[in-house]
Amino acid sequence: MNLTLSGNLTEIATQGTAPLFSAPALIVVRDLLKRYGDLTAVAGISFAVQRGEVFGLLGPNGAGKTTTVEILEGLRARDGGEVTVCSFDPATSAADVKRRLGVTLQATALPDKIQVREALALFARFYPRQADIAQLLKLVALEEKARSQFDTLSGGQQQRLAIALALVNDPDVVILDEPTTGLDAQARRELHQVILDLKRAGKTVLLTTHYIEEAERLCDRVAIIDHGKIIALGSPRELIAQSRGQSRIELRTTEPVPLRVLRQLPFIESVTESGGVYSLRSVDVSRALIALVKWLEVEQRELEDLHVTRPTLEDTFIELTGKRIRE
Amino acid sequence: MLQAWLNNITLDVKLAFRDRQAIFWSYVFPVFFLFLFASVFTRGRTEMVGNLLPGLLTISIMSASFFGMSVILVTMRERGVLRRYQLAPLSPWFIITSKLTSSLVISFSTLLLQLLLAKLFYKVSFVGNPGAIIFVLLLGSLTFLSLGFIIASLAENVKTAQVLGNLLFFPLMFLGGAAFPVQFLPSKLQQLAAMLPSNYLIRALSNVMNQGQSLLNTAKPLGALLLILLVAVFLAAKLFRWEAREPMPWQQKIWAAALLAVFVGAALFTHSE
Repeated sequence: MNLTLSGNLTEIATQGTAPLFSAPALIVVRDLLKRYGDLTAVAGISFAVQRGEVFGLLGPNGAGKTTTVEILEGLRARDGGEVTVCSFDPATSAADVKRRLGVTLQATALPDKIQVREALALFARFYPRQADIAQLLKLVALEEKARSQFDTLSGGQQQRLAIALALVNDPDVVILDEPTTGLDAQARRELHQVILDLKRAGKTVLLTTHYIEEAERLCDRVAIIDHGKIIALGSPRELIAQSRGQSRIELRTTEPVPLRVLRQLPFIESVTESGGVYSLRSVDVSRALIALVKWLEVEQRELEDLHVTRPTLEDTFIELTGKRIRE
Repeated sequence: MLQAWLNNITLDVKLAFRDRQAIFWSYVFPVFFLFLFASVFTRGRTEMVGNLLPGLLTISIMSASFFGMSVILVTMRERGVLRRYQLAPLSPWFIITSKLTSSLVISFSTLLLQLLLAKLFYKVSFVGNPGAIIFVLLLGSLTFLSLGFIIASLAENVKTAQVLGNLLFFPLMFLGGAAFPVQFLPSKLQQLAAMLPSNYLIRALSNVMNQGQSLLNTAKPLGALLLILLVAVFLAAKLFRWEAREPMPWQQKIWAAALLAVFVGAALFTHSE
């Protein structure tokens, strides 16, 4: 496998079936529908993942993320809509899709006694195009564990092995379903590094997660999905900007300040107080700050503490879904 | 793909040898069983050990199939190992044929070990043609392994697989003549016994092993085993499930019921002849 893929990608684009005049999306989902009995797991979602992009499906458990990716992988039949992966329909050309796709699922395992390198070598043989095992081991930092048995690996190592397994066929698209769920902070950071390395190598990645900071950190674009529907789609920056989420100014003063007075200051939209800390919401933080400081000086109030918090993707998420994502 | 298939089989056998539990059930236990049988039922009279062997080998084959392979397969499905395979462009036939072959290798090595020990410790002499004996053992093993595959597909989890395994194992052992000769049974039960796959295998084995008959003279029980094998493999492919979460679709249940009916019908028909 060529991990510095910029060269390799242009090569792929100029040969084979991909037309040069357009850059078709590697994953296209249109009005996808999936029901389990009475339950509608996926209620008409649409998105497209472009070549070289890291795309995130962010949502709480049961939002329909896993169902969506399992349909993309050809593991599940859909009840409506259109899906193509590398211009193949997984419902009718599952093998073609599988050859071009690398996948990690939440609920997969390997035999207890299989060694890391044995597993990679075995699964590579299932594909016509095969990645270099030594390079894969290096990418996921498992070189020293090459001869270790699966049941001796930590959760983080098993997950990194799962990613290496997803890459044995040097896939065009990588789908990672909740790759960091259940891992501790350290293991999660290591895995993020692996995903960022994939991104740097130009791989196209579709990632599902219910960790907001993960989506924010890793993804070029994020679709927020809840109850089987996409409720927002864009880059993390766009999503944050889209939301009504405002920056907050939090301050503490030596003596209490009447809330009424703070509310009358320019550019301040709302004020709340709890435990002696005043929280001011504003659409224009810099101007609000100037007004605030001026007022403090005129009134000769003394500040104990002041800081500004910017809205995060989490604010957007809570605003859109009305709930917090819990682990 | 052939290389991948062979790789999967050799790795499977290797993994079994790395697993202490698997070694115990595949080799230690069957050997213990051989000595137990030989000492309890014959008090060391060697000509009788020879007569015990067809039943004993049949028990080994059945336990390797109903408790060994089927439980391993259900565990693979429950833990998501099969799902990992499913992500690759592989058909169910890949799993079925490679798993049957690796299980056959292990099961056959168990049988050879039992035969070797019987020869060494009890001076059992085999009058039959070694090639014919090997053929019958391979065919018998494959037939029961395929039945084990069906158990694995029907069972939702390891517990039900064990229950189903027991439900097949004990009647097949006691009624089929593996534990004691069928002649000890009431005549009604003897008629039933004659239709059981275990009894076909025991008859075939004692024909070629103890009486030195040719395969041709053993055609009837061998044909029955082959028929059961074909039906079982077909059914195993129809019933195959990659994952435990999805309940078995009703089409598969109909397949299972229909084939089972055909199978019982065929057994009754051949028996009435």
